[in-house]
Amino acid sequence: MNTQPVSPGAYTLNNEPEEIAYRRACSTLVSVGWGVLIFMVWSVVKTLGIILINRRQLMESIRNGIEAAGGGTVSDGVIYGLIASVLAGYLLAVLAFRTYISVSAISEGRGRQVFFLYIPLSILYIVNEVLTFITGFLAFTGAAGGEESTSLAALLIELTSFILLIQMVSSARKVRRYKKMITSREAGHAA
Amino acid sequence: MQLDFHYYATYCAAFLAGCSHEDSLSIARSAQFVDCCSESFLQGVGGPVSAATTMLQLEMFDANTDPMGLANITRIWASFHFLPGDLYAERKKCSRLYRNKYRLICNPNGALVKDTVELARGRGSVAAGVAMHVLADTWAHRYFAGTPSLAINNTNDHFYELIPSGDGYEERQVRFIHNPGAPDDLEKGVYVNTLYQPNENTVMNLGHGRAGHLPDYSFMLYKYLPAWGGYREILKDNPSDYWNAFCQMVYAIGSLKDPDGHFETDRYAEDEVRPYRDRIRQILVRRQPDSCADWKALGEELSGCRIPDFDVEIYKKEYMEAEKELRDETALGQFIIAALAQKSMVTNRIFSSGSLLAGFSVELKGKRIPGIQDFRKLLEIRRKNHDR
Repeated sequence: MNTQPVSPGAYTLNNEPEEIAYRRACSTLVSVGWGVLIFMVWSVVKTLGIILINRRQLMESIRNGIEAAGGGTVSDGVIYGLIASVLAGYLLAVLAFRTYISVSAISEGRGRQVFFLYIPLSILYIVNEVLTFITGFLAFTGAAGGEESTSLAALLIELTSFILLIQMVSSARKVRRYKKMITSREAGHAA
Repeated sequence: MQLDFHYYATYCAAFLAGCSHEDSLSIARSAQFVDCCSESFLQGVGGPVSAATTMLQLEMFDANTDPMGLANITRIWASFHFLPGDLYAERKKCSRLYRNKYRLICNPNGALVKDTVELARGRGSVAAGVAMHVLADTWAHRYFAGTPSLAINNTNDHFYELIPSGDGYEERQVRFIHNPGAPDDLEKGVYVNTLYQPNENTVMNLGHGRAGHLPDYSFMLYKYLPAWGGYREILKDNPSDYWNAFCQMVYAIGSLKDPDGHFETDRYAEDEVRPYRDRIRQILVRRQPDSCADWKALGEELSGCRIPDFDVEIYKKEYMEAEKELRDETALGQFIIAALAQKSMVTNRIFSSGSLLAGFSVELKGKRIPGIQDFRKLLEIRRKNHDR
């Protein structure tokens, strides 16, 4: 048996089950938030890769489109400029979108107040990921009728990204649920 | 723990246990020297490097983290600074490697503390000092393991200092920075810790590195989530732990004075220390980065003798000036033997528990085996004693 404590007074630790569950959910939310942020790099690399590999076909189809619309002959420079500006806009939008949801998740996991919108936006992104995965899967199996252009590695990365987003939404919901329980318990104690 | 407790407070404990000024000083010097005896120091004096009891910052950064390197690090830190509390602790739903690391978590009053004190029995004041360092650190460094491990030693943002305020405590979130050159700011609650590294085995995740120097301040009271704790808060009450350490040291030194005595865990010389409780409490709770002056004043009051400042050179000079065959008789020579005995005992216990984290160990006593490096010196001494 230890001696009599010399510290000024007793201190009670907060290890209620919902408090522990809340901390666990917060920790998961921070981790998956970082995961979503890191996977953003994959999205950028993938988009740039697709554009780079298919640049000739892309340029051809843009040129044909402009000519068909009666725009006359356009130089390669103009088409390159067009692709670059659309690509920059698209990448900026993707980066902003993913940064917003992942930073919000990390902030919420660290106990800060965040705007609720990031969860519906994450769900929207999950839908996008599902569609991307299905398209990739069809391309991989050749069921879409085209060439086998998606590798298994790319497919697995998409799947991981999808699981991360699901985990993020699930953890965010848990964080809110446990926070509510803790707040109502504390209010009960105060009353 | 720092110089204040390992040197000055150990001196006070030894004196209260009934030792003379000289013996108290020898115990205190040896206890503090555990924090100085690095491989570099031993190389400098021509001693066996396997007797190292600590690692300098540069040695740490240079250390290999392959299995052999990790075993060397674990042997040093688990034997002298983070003595495992329970080498047979069980943990459900975990891998064997995790369980082995979990078993290295330091805690006071474990079987190894008893073995440590008993190992020092009849071996003089220098060996007693080594044992007192190990015993005191089991209180200060509890909940951390003396092996690099993110899964055991990591901490996160949920780290609050509890500052006494009125009848209760004010909670203040601890802010950690990673500049090793910066001092801790006690007023603002900004402390230096090691950098977060996701690698399980990096030295950044050794011992209490991720909690900075907080376990080393006697006044510190804090709560946090240890990585091994399953998101349960843990309270670290340093003033009470340091008080326990002090009372246990007085009891342990008292028991070592009797060659036929025996040390029991969970026993404290509270009655002997009670007259000084308020004075010691004041020192322990005072918010200051080091309490050397306070402990020194108490020690000098107790013994009526001047306590010299700790000086590594005293050990070094005596050892280097001695004839080679007489070196074992010097204070440093005795320290080396005590350190090797402690290290080989702890390594053997860890190995016997089914873990290779501290390396391979065999009981060589009575066997005609040349021995591995850690044991060579001890074997020589055993042979010498046998021949006599």
